[in-house]
Amino acid sequence: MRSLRERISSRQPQRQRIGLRRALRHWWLFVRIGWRSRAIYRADILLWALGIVVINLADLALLGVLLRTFTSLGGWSIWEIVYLYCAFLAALGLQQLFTWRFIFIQDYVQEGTLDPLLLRPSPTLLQIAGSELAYKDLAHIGLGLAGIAVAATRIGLPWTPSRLAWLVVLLTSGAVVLGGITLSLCSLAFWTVRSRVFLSGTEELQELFQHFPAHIFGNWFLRLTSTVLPFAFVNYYPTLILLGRADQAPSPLLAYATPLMALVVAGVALGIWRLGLRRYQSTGS
Amino acid sequence: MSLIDVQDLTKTFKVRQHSAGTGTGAVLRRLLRPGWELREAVSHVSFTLDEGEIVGYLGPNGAGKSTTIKCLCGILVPTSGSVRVAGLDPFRQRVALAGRLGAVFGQKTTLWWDVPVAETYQLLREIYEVPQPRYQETLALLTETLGLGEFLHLPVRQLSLGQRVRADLGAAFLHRPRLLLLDEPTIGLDVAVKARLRQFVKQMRDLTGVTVLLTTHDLRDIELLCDRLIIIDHGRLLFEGSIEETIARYAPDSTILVELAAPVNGPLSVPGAREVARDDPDGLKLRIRFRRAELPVTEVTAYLMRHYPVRDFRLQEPQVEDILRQLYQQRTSVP
Amino acid sequence: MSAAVRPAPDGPASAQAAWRSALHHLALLRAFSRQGLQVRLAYRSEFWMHLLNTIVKMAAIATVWRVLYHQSPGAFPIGRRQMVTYAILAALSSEVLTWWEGPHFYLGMRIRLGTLVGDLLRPISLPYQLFAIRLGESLALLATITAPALLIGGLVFGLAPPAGGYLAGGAAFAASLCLSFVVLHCLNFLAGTVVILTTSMEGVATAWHGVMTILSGWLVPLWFYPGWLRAVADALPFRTVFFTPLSIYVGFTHGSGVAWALAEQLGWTAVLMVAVAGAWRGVRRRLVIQGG
Repeated sequence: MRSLRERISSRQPQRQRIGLRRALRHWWLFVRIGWRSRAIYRADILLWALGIVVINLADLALLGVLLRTFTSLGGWSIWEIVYLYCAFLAALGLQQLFTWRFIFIQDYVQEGTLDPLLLRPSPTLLQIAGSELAYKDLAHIGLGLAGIAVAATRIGLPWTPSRLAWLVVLLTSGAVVLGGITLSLCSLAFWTVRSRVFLSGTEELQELFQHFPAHIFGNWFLRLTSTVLPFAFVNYYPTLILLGRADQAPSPLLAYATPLMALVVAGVALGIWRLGLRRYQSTGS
Repeated sequence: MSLIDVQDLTKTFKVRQHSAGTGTGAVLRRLLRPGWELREAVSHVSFTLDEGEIVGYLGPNGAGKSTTIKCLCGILVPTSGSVRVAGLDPFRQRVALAGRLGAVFGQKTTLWWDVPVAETYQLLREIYEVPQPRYQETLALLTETLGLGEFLHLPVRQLSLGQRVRADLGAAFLHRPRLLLLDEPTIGLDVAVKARLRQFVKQMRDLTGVTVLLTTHDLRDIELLCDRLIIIDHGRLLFEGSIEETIARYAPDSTILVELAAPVNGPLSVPGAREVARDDPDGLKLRIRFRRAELPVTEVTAYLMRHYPVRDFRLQEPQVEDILRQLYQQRTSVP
Repeated sequence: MSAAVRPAPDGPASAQAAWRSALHHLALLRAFSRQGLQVRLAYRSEFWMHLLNTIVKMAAIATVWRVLYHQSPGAFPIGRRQMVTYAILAALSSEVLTWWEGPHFYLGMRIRLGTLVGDLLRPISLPYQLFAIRLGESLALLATITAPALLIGGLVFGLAPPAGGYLAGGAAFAASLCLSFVVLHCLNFLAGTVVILTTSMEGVATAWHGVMTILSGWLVPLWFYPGWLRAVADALPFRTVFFTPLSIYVGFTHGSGVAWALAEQLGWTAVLMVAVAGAWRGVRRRLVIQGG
């Protein structure tokens, strides 16, 4: 009869000591070979990027029509809304560019194509993410940054080095939060087989955050989306900070905690992923 | 020390019960009370592999072969028992083991689809941290023995099945692993490619001392490659031994089918044969069964040619299925 | 509209043939509707997520308009309850009257696979076939997604009754919606023929989204549009898909205006059906010459 300690330690795989530098190098190798694979599909990327621009310009145009009559929504002027919208675009683009492949975790699990990845001396998640970057999302990033720049000028926000630094930090944090939520939901594939559907269940919620300032939906909504489904940290709180409206948050501390929240969400997501992977290895598929 | 040491390996899966029936009642029952049952895929299996051995791992489909192999790779964690590969615990030390392990899984390729094979090889070289001179050496060796030269520059997408399997085999060997796991590598291949693969495996073992564990349904693979056989069925170890031992013990008989130019009346006999029978009512076809260990084929055929008007004959060798069937029958007959 | 029915010399034989063909078409409609329902119900988790998304979309748009009404009620030509109802009905109908599913995607997929030729061999014209399939799917959507979402929307936000009373107003709204369905189907089909010509699914789909978003008036009612844009929208059929029925319901279009709006819809329906028939004939000719 093995002791409890033995039984627990036998369940934990030894910390896979691959080392950050080596892992990043491996990731870069995968990205490079993935880029060469896509050589013949380059035209598609351009078309997709163009489509992204069209769709978002249409949405922005509509917002523009609306706010001509109303001049403000929930106390925010039209250019502040544009800023909010583009902050989401940039964060989304950044996240999708690097972690688009997460939605296929469900397929890796179902088709058994996870096994060859486990056989390589490389972190499995990096192999999945690095197998293909979503180059079309450079359009999201580009459009988002351009919109932020224009909106900031129209609002009259000064571009100081500290602001720029904050912008970079907050954009990255927003992308990490979005990526963490995506990874958490997609990792459910280890338990429920079809996990992509949970992510698609948050699509309208994401659209909501993209188009409108979240406080118009009520305090309970802000509370929900600052904790369980922390979408508020993707673009709402970052925009509050950059527009100088941090005091309008339920607590200004909450808004400034965005980078911290990003780390928390990433940690939780990686935890769920590891748990799922361990489950996969003990129960098969 | 053995390269692979498996002791009392057991792997149990929790499987959802699939109740039959598509009526509303059955569906509701399934929703409300999902039943679970335990399925032992591998049950108290023990075996060892020494360095430099080529061992065949046989068994019918669903016998537990893939499950065992996945436990050896660290892809699955055993429910109980212990597995040691190259002194490492595959599950807990997966990364360390990965550099010493190479695997080819039958139909599934691990190569990138759209890039030239050489590019994938370069990528693998970096991932497995093979120094450039060593890599060049190995690549030259692989190119020569597997004939990679004709398609190294082609994307995998454009390769035939035989070429792809050769490329996969090369990829598995690039980092000079100590253990090579081959899961049904010769399925669907033509005779020429199969011969080439077998030659490659044998050569690599002779040159580098790599240990090979091979699962296959192909009798020639076993005869030409394997030093030893391990046979598993229903998750349990049935038999372990050399080829000669296996065949001698479980399929000791060969059969010759004879076609006569003219029917022969009267009793038929061949000295030393176990069974001589007529295969058709006209008496033109004979079947002679004999023990290989007792009677060389040439003696049988010589006797037949001398005493009977033989027009043609054909030698039937035992198949793997025959051996497995024998073993299975023997197992179920034991109380 | 169907290729199976050709102008024939007058006489009892041709009338009988026409009647039989009509029955055949109706039977097809029923069969495809049932199939559409099956497809919807086959994927349980997708269904729940779709329902969730629909409710979130409806709640979001309704809330936004409620907030905007509270901000400046004078900007609206209709009452608060009516505006919220407009928002709810717009959100829900955009799920059924969708431009992200339909004949254009079917055609796009067929062209990509090169299997469009197979559709030429069927005895029923493809536009009608796709219409029947889409109708089936839509009825399934109405029953399984729209109805529960409408119930929730009504309970949470409160729905105004149709302008002009439940009977007359409701009937006008329903009739308008039916015409909207046909108009959208025709428009989607025409978009599909553009896909065939340009062989670019993504390009057409995104451009189509842009057009429908801006010119249909579902998210922002057309009375808010600046003059020049309003004029453009009025000249095109897109607004009859959403703005016409919705404005009838909330009473923005009232009195004789309702009859005019319905007549306009009917007119566009006729024009587009002719366009579809022509486009399909053109596609068939092209396929026969160039191959699928």
